[in-house]
Amino acid sequence: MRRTFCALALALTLALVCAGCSSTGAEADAGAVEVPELVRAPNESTQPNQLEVSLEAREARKSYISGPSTAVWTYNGTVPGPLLDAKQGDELVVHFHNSLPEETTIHWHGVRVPAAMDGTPRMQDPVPPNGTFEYRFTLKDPGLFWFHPHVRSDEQVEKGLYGVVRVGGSDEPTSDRESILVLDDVNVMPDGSLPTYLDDESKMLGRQGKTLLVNGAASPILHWRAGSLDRFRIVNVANGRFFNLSLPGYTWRVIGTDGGLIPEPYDTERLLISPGERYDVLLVVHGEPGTRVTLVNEPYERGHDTGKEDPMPVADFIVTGEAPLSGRVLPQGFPKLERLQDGTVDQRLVLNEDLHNGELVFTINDATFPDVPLIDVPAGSMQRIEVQNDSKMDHPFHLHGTFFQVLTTNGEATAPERLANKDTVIVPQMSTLKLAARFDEPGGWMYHCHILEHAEGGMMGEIDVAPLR
Amino acid sequence: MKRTAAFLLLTLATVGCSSSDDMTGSSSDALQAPMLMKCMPMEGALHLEWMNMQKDCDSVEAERKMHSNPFEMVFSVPGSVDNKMDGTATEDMDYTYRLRCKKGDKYSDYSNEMMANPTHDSAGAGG
Repeated sequence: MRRTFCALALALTLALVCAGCSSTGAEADAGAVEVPELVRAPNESTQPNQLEVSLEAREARKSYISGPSTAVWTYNGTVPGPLLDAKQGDELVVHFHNSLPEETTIHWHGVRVPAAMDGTPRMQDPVPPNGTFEYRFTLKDPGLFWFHPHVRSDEQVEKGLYGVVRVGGSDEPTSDRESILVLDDVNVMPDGSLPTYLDDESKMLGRQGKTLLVNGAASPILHWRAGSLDRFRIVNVANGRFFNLSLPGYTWRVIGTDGGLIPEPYDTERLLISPGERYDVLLVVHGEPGTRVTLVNEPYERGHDTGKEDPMPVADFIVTGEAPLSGRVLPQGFPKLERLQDGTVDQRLVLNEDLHNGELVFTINDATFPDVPLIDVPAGSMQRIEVQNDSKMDHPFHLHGTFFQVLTTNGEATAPERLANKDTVIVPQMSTLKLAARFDEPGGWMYHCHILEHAEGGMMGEIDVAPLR
Repeated sequence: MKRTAAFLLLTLATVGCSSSDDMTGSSSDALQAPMLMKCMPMEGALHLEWMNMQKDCDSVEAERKMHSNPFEMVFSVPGSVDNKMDGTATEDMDYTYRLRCKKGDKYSDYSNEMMANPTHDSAGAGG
């Protein structure tokens, strides 16, 4: 019996190998989906300079991979949720309805909002099941931002609750095409479900799925035209996975990050994006029609042997048969950015990991949220915050309510070309960053590790900007 | 995709063909034991990683022994889980672990054993 199986298997194997050798690109793409474009939320407003949308958090089903579909949580039925496309200075009005079986909020990651609109339980009562809330604020800054819950965020984001806000500015760079890439991962069980048990490795590294997603699709393809100047706006919405992107034959021209365009674009072979961060990059496409290049997530050592993981394909980019474009050039620079002044350290935060009663916890100044001491700062003040990572893994540090700049890393000043407005930054293991931030908006603002399991595991604190509203 | 399928089939065929027909020491309904892969210090305790050779276990049970004491159950996790930090293994001594799969009222054989000391920063050793 076994020998019969062996003969059949070997025959089938040879047939498949031969078929594979002679397959055309088109055959190889059978079943692969094009990177899905995000669907714009329709504007319900007739007012100029206003984007008014309805968002409903609700359950749905989604097929990530072949096999049974997965129960997901969505905004308006899709993962990712709809694109909120606006321009700088617009008022955003969101009529939010919670159709989920548990309470939730919407946090506007990176958007400078009034504290009452920030979606944190400190400043807003969570929206109960079947409850509603109206978010209303002005979009002050151009850039790519995203939204997600700030209640049980590790579970709610993992289930699919995230979406993107794009705010156009007056000096956007020209490109032939602009694509938003929302990067995530998911761990689909054989029955289609997502794991409900949080194992210790996921506590330590954040949930990491075996399936990488671009705009909700696994292993998609993207067709692009030779000679085209393509702009990619990339956001990492994964709970724990760092994306360390390489595209063989290409160098990323980085033109922006969390807080918009940067004054001095730079080139890099690897684009490292931690959870929560965004990068804005340009490439000029080259190659003959049919040329295929694979976007790869390369290993990155962020602690606990993560650098030994295998590379993972993210998507395939294929040159179309259209006539090549010519004459496209990469931009050299954008308007200057005001460098925030250095000074003595006002606040010191020490990040660490520890065992408390046999359980893994993530601490700030030796305490876990909500016991991390509150920081009080006056409105309008500039604060220099030293973030010292004493743990053996990287932590993406996220600050709500304002942008910050990295002044120094381990005492070394940030190079002019790396100066940027950030809201999320990697604090490398056993390293210290000195940040500067101006706190103009009164209210309570959270800061935390954006590995969501770390935030929920204690690595979170609050800054009160007086006077509180 | 085709190449992946071909590789899998080739592997399957090779494994199957190199196995002798009398390799049936365990009956087809016997549960396969997990394979313990790592036992290493982490945060002052010990972290275990394993492979679940049986894909439909209800749970994976871990037993631990210290010194020459007998094995005692130290934790149980759902059958799809493949790692666990034993946060109670914090003393300067060798801890030895073994695992088994449980499905219904049936158990697999025990896995291989691994041993480590949480205060020694080195990889775990086979027991």
